[in-house]
Amino acid sequence: MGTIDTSEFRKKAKIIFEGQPWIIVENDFVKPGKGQAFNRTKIKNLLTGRVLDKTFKSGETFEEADVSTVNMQYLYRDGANYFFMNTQNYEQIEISGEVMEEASKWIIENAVCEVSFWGERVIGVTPPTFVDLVVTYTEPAVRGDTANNVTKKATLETGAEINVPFFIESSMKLKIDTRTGEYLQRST
Amino acid sequence: MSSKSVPTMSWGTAQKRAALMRHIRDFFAARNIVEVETPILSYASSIDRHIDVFSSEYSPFVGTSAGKRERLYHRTSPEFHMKRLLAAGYGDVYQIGKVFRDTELGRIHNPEFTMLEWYRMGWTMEELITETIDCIAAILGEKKVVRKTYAEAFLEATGLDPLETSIEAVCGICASRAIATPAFSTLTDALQFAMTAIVEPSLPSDAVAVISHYPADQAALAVIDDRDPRTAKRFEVYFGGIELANGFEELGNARENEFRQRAENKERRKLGKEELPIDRNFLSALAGGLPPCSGVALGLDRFVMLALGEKTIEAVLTFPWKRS
Repeated sequence: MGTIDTSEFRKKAKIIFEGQPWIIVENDFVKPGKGQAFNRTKIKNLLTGRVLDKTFKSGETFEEADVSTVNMQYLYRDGANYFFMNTQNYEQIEISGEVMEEASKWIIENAVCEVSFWGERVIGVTPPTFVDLVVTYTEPAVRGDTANNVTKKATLETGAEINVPFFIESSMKLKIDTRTGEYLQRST
Repeated sequence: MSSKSVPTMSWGTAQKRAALMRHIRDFFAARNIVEVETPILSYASSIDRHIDVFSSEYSPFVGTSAGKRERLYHRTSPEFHMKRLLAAGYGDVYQIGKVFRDTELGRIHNPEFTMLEWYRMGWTMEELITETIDCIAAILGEKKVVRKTYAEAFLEATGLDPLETSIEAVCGICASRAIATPAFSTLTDALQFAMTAIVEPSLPSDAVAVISHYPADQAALAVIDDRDPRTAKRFEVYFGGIELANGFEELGNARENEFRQRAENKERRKLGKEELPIDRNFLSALAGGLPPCSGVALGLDRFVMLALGEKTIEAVLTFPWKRS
């Protein structure tokens, strides 16, 4: 990987800072008329998710972080570990629950996820943006609760709990936006 | 048609910008300030440790090696030529023109931009501050005005007296506010950083803020204030926390001017930057006598941007650098 300097900072640029990979979330060039130039940034650690405000002197250079993504199919879970298969070459890898984070709430077998690597190391899993999941349990609707904005809790087949409209019943299949964790509609 | 071929300023905005330009020229015409034009290319330029200069070459005979090629600098400000006019006996003058600054690119920076600069003969800094506020009101409408000295603004926002502080104290204040600081080599750099990181964001978002009496080390080409020689008669004007104008009660002394330019060159050398030639024509004009005067430079694109409620300088430029 090459090096990048502050003039190449833009959203989603990835740098190595203090030995870890970070992604530029925000970048603002700051230069008083007669003063020194800075880049005021918000950077996110790709391993821990920690977001940091950091001001760099303009012109500082960084090693570019070798981060790539691969589409992988979720196969099964064994204890705390999740097994995925590369859809191109059928290689299988094991990903720990810690790295899975929220992704584990939204995926069932065969879901194709974006797996991020820093070099050889898996650093994150992004589930499909929209998923269809079956409701395993929800309280029956209370008679008379017909206002449109009334919601209740529902448990999905993955174990995730979300808010749904009152008319949703157990064993219905729902479309969920995994970025927000919100119910969108009944699956067709 | 690629996206880079189209202007970033809409036709509607272009018409509004043109109307504002007319309005600005009317403001100066009504006050009998005369519009002038001075060279963009010159044998010398302003010397400032943190302002980077573009240059090009003049060739007497194109296509041959005959003749001496001469280096010409793109102005970063029209100040030297305008002060030469004043030293030669011109009266109050203003200029609207392009200036060029290398390495400056961002939401409110473009490497070439339009500057409005004007001079008032016999005026003090205070008088020029009043007129600068009038000029801003003519374009942005009447706004609340906040006046502070640099020391007052700094003290209010940070609790530190900038005229009696240290790099460590400034870093300490930044750290206490979870503001990460780069390494500073001079107190001036640390103060400028804190000004940008803490003081400017604390300025009112809906008022014109005038900060005057900069520390003497940031005097640039302003006279030192006799009443407090730790400060200079330099002022800056902000609106909505954005730096809009910079003015001086002008330093006329040729020797002191040369000394300050050499000092800036020394700082440039420390920063690993090229030293720039001292402008002999400018110093010679000062040696002949620059009458007492004050001058101010205002970033016209930012001015238009604020007047039209835009968020980026690109929105008021036809083709910013990346689309040039």
